[in-house]
Amino acid sequence: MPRDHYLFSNGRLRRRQNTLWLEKATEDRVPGVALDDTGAPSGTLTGEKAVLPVEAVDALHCFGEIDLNAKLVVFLAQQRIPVHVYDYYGNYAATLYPREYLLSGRLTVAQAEHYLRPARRLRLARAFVGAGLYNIRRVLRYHARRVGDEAPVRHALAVVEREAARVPEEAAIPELMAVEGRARDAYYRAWPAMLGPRLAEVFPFDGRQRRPPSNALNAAISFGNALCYAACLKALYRTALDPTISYLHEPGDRRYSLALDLAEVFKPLLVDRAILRLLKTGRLQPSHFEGRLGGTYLTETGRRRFVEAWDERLRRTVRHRRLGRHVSYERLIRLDAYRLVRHLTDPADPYVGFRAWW
Amino acid sequence: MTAPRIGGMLVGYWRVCPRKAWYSMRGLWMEQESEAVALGRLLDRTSYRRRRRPALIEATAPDGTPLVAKLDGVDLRAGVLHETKKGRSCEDAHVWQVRFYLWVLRLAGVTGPGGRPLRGQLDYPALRRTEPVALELEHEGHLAEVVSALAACARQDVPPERHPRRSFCRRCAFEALCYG
Repeated sequence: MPRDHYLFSNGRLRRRQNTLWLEKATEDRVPGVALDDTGAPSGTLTGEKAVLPVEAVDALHCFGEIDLNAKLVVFLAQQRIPVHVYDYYGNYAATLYPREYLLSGRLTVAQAEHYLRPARRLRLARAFVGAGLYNIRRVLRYHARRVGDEAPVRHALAVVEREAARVPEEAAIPELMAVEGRARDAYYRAWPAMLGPRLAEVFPFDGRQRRPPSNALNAAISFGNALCYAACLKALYRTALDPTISYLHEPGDRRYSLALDLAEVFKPLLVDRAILRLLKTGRLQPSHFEGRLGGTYLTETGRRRFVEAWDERLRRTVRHRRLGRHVSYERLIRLDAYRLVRHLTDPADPYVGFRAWW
Repeated sequence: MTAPRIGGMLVGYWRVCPRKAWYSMRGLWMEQESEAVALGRLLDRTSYRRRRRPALIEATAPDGTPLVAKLDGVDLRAGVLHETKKGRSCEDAHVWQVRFYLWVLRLAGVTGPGGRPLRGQLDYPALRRTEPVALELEHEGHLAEVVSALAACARQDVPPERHPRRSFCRRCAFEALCYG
């Protein structure tokens, strides 16, 4: 099975003998020091090479500074490998999105139709928020049983449940977004309690802050959300869905907005649970975070640890109830994309969004 | 939506599961990742390379639906139309696919040596077996019906029902789309 590969080192990625070669380079950049703006590749080649059999690559994630040329881009497009690029701080920056290879004009028309008709759009937006909140409740419930002081978690659970009950009632997207915002706020406020007093002291949390992340937990959430977005985008690329036509988020607002819609469903299950686990097991320590440019970011070691846990999580399997066999967490994203296709082609078969049952 | 040109694969799909044919006509393919399909394609590419003459024949069904036959290989000298398959699952669909090709050839006026109609043959290189396929008069009637049904299916807004036998879907590449 092909899988995602995460490139942390700097270097040059090449097409060679019809496969992928990474020629590694040294790190020449120093945090806080201005970029070398001469256009020359940064770092010097170390002579160390890594070969990635192209058939085994499903997508690439570039965390280091990677030089590449048009020949490689063509090759990656032929092999249908999307390349996600992250900046120096680990923020998602861009995706080299190969030419679409699964196209269905009729499906694109149906996608646009469901966007243009308010009732249809709302129905889908509700499904994304509804499933997202359901999965948040799963995380809260899972951790409520595992902490000393249950009260704050129970409180958050009550708020999320109250807000979730409003999802079918709200009649417009902004209100739906507000419902989601309030629920998430209550959810994040329960994180110190879910982490327990010892960890809450080491990883203080004052609610969600982005751009830049204000503390270690926010840095981890931002990084995880970027990975989740990339995973959702890849799932969409493997279907005939157009990633720019979305329902909860405004199309083309930022990024491929349908991936943002899907990520809403999977973030609690994939990102949040990964973070809580990483912290509780001590795989992520305060030393894996550093302050830069007035924000907090994961260090390279921190990112590596996170990505390892992330990759393990995506490949973990669960027995799928309708299919009656084991599927990976990653596959669940794709199956949800298929359910969306079903919804768009058959109104009698509505999309409800993946709901974790564990 | 105007009916698409109907080919042998769609006829085969229809015999197996109309829903699959509907998805396929909408450009919703699921076989790009199927290992079985990839193996079948490889087998087709690598078997019988000497006598292989791929061909594309077009014709029009009695009800006006445009038809197309993408032939794996025709042996014009012997008057045999070959279709390579990996294994015998869905053999009924394979047989109908070949009958469809023979029908298109007849409608297009293509004949074998001496003006005789071509004979059909299913080749299973992996099994080292071949199976003759003939086109009888009653088959032509059924094929005309299938083509009309496919044309009507293409105009339908919603997909046909799922296959009545869930167990049948187990090995279908479309399973994730229908049940995922």
